[in-house]
Amino acid sequence: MLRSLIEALSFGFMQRALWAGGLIALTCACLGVFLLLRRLALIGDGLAHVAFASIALALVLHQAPMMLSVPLVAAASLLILEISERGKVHGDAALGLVSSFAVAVGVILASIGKGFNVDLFSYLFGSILVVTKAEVWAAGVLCAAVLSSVAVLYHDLFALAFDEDYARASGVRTAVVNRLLVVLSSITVVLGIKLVGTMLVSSLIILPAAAAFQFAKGFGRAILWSAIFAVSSIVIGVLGSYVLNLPSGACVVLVNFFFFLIAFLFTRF
Amino acid sequence: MPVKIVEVRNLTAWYRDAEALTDISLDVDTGDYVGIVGPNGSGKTTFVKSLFDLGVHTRGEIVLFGEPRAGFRGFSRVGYLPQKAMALDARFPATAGEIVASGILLRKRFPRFLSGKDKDAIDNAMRLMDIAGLKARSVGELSGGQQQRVLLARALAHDPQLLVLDEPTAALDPQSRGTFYAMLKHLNQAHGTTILLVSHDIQTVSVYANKLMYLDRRLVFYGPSGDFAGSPAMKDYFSRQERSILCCDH
Repeated sequence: MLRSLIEALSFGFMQRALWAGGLIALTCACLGVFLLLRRLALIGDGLAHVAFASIALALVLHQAPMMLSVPLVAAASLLILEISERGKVHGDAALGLVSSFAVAVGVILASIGKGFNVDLFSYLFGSILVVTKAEVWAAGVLCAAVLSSVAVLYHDLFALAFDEDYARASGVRTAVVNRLLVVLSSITVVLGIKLVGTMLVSSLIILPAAAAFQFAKGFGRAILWSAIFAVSSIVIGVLGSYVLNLPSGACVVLVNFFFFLIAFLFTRF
Repeated sequence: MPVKIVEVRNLTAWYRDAEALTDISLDVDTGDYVGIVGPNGSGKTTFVKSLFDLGVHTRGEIVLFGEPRAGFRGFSRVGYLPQKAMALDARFPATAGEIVASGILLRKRFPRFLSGKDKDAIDNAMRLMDIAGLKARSVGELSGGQQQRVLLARALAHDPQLLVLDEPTAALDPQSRGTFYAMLKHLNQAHGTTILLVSHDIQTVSVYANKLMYLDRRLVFYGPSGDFAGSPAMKDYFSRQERSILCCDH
């Protein structure tokens, strides 16, 4: 087994998968803490559905799926906020509204462009092992942008998550910070799709943060533990999938769930 | 001549599409300690939310520290305790110390780091609220009263010139309430902190506050606490018996 692991690590595609996966998981884990506390845990799921439609559109138009998805998913995330703030519906309903529309559009586009259904299927479940060097760099740049934004806005995001009225009365521009949070989330979701696909990307946002919340005392520690769980799940999941010859995206999610289960049981018994 | 901290002109406010306050005009001067009282649904919280533009649709003019509310950026001069703070998320993974520190950090310029002076201010605020030993404890583990003290310490930590407190004593036991009111009086008298305090407890508030604002969707009374019971507006509003119950200390 050790020999298999050493062998796996010697492959370029595996190194790229671990780099890209680690960076994206780290970003998902940090944002996940804020999203869960803002009760926006399922925004990853909703935006992944939008990404499904935007990838289908990109394939119809013969464009690079990720390049088209980032602006479209970001626009959809802002639309979700607008509907929930002005449309007399709660955030979850706004999310359902936009994501169901997007899936319907995606299905119609898939039906129009029959030839690309196989490509589209690869985005449903991710393809981390075929990440290119350019994609690793792109992931690195986008992750750096998201993480530095989180670092700059850390105290604003913290206050917003804890008590929005207090944050606003303290001078935090809550409307701007809220919008930035969902736009950063949409970039992260699009990146995460390469890893685990549209079906499972929300788990990268939810599970590490949920596991950290089980025992972390203190906000900084919750983010730290969420990041540790997320990056560890990539390393164990990707290498484990190679050794056991299983789909890597699903393995990453299972490892994440296993971490959550341990944290949940550890704090109760 | 006292400097005006809050100026309100012809304020009408709507909360969830219903008119909650009509045509309110008043000034709050430096060093005032104003008790905002009135029955349930009288617009007390709406008034406070209007001051900070917290999801309340308003018409009229609000000026804070001489700046119109829309362009107001002097948040380091303001401390605020929201009413709903009592119902904070018990699962929120933050320590009491982190919550109190946020009161200071939000008002700092980037990069926001705590200086030694800031750390002392946090310790002092927590000591003042008798929660110094809870600094490393998770807020979710604390009782309702302890959580309320944490939030009060957060409102006090940056030494604000204006302190706006919406039902601050709701989760405190009677003994702590007395200590809390005495502490506010000290802040008001010794530091000159201007205080706006929303409460249902008109008897207690009228003892400590030097001004009372009685709201019932409109401004029924605004003036010195001592004038409250005998004012013509209150005579019209309350029966003699109600006045004697409400204002037994005057």
